[in-house]
Amino acid sequence: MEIGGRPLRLGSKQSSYRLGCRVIQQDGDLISDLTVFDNLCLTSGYPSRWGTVRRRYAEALAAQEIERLDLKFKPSDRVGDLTMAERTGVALVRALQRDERYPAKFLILDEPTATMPSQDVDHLAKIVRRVAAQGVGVLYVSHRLQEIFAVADQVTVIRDGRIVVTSDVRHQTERSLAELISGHEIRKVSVRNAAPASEANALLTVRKLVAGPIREVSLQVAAGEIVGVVGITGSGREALLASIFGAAVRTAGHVNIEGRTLPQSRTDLSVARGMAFLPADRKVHGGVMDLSARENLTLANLGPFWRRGWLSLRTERAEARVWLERLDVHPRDGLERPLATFSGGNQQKLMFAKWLRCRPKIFLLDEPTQGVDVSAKEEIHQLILDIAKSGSAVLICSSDLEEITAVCHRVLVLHEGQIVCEVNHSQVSMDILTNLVLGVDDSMAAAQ
Amino acid sequence: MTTIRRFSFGVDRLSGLYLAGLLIVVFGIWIPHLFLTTSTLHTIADEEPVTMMLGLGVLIPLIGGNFDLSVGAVANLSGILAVVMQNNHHWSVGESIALALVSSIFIGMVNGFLIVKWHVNSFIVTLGMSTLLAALLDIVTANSQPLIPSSHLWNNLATFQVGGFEAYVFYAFICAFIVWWVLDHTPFGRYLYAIGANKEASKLAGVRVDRWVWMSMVMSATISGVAGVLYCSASGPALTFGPSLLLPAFAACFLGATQLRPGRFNVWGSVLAVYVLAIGVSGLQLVTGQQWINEMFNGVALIGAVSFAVWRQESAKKVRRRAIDGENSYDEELAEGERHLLIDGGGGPKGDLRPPTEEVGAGPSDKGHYE
Repeated sequence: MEIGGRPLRLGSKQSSYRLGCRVIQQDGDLISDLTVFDNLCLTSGYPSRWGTVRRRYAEALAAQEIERLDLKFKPSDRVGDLTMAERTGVALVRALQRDERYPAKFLILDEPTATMPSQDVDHLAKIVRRVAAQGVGVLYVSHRLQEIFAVADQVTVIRDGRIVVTSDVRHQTERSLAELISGHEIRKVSVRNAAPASEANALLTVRKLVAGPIREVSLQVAAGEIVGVVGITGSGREALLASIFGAAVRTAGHVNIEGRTLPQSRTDLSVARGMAFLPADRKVHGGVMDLSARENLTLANLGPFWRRGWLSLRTERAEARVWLERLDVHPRDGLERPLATFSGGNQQKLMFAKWLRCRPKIFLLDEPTQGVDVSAKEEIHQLILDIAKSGSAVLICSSDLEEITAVCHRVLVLHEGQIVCEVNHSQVSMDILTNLVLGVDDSMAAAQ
Repeated sequence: MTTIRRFSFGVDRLSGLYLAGLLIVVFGIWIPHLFLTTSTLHTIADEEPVTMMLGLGVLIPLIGGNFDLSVGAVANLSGILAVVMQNNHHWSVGESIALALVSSIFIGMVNGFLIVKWHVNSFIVTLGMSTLLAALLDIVTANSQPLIPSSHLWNNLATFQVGGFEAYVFYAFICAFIVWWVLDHTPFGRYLYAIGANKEASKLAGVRVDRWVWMSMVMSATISGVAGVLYCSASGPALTFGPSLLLPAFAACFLGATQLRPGRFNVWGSVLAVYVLAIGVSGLQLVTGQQWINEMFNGVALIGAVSFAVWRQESAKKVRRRAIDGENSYDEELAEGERHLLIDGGGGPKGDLRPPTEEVGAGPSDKGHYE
């Protein structure tokens, strides 16, 4: 790789900085308890005299930098008090701070609008264009197609890790881009046939749920049904399952399992009443990485091994071994190895085994195959189908549309915290879903 | 991993035992007439029961990820309370001990309440609590050391001889046995280890995090209360014995976490640590006759043992990483383009520019904590 004709040493942040490359991560990685000024100076260094920070001088300098991008906040504002767009602005200012020795030449923005409300997006687009006008190259990665047309001159479509096309934005429409992103081949659909859920036969009923980014969601899942939820990052997709499960605070609405209301923040009751929740982030929320596979496997239900005041390690091991066998977890003799030493796919299988042991009636799966290799992914999909076949209700949130297409009977599209449309099984296809998720209007009409 | 363990003769897990053996051999050769005697054995055994029990008290919350800095103060108050009730109010031994334990349990409940319900950091809660208890102790005793109660039962409670050992050595081991059962053989212990390792994931697995954390604080205070009563019975009602035992108790836990099951706080590791230190200290004291040797040896041993354990873990990790890289047969030239995708695609944690191995797992999540 080269930047400005000079080779970039891979794996060195410093090298890429010196060549003028600046990166803005999705969440800006700012310290929200500090002021804008402090955040800026942590990168560039505090100007000082005799070891004392020259505060007034530095703040003036920071104010200048902010003004250069025509942003509205002050250096003394606390980052945590700013809006999402302003925070991205801070990250931008920080990235583009004047540096005489290594001036910024090239800016990478990775999904800067993922968690941003739409009015802020327009503002950001303006800022980005202004940056580009100052002679900085911008690489802008995004899910949202409208933004591409607002911001970009040239667009490159990547699918499955390969570049599909690079072309001038003027030669593309939202429609054509969506097609390029999804690819034309529509996958063979493997499941079908489910009774559509109604109030009467619903195992899980969610009524007017409001929680964080979720503005109002009602849905039902029947026994044996697999329902998918899709939506771009920031649509509330990531928060939905946690709030149904009771791990995140619900501000309004009800969650019923077979007609019984589930109380707030009592995950133990959710589990006891037959709900299982597989969080998206295995390392932080899913598994206890430092404990062994066996301990993770049995954590949710130790009852069967608790006999006469003693946990029977022998029956526990025996049962754990059976599950490792059944879900084909490798290494097979890894019962006592810490969960962290397993590969992503095997960790995920262990997480499934943990819940399958409890025989839940409702499975909530958040990104069930994230960070999982291709073959394990197939196995996990088969597992999900088997779970539904055995009479459980399954609700999947996923950003992987292919996955949704492959396993779901019914798909709900989430947009800005609300379900905007429902696609039932005869219509589920990659194309339609891609268009819906990306918000291309005419296909929304076609689906309804 | 396995290869390391095979050739290391359990150095990682049993370094304490090896060290104990080494100390015994060294002192046995150096000063056989002083060291290799039954009286030394009894001294070593009798010296440590209270440290050991307080260590067990600290251990339980520590496993669940909470500090209990109030164990010393609880022990002190509990012991003194039992004495004062006998002296000033003519309560029987049983009644006064019962009151001491009930108040310990109550203190544990208050600690737990503040940690669980008000979400105050355990470090702060128990630090504040121990200061508060010191004040209570002043009130109870009017700041003068109480007399030793005349009751025969009280005075022999901890010190009657069983096979040459004082009884409270056995109490301490019974206590260790119970704590071991609780931690290793009940669901409570299992939950506690899980909570300590990942509170969020435990909660999402349906574990009642709050309840078990609370209970761990109560158990810690209870054990401390018992230890305090035994100490006052054996060594007299001192006003400031508790706080000076706090650090040795923590040291025992941290040292213990390098033993038997490295990386995990565990009961027998802590017990082993206590006694290895006792052997070293008493041997050195016989040789030099100096008081400061005690503190010096404890400090050096704690830092040394933990550094050693950290170093062993790091090197084991390095070997494992190399093995994984080897398995993937990562080819520099071929994978150059791919690697850039991997790095930019956010395979590993931020700032980690190694090619993501299987170990790294899923990418960073944009999701916050659920609370």
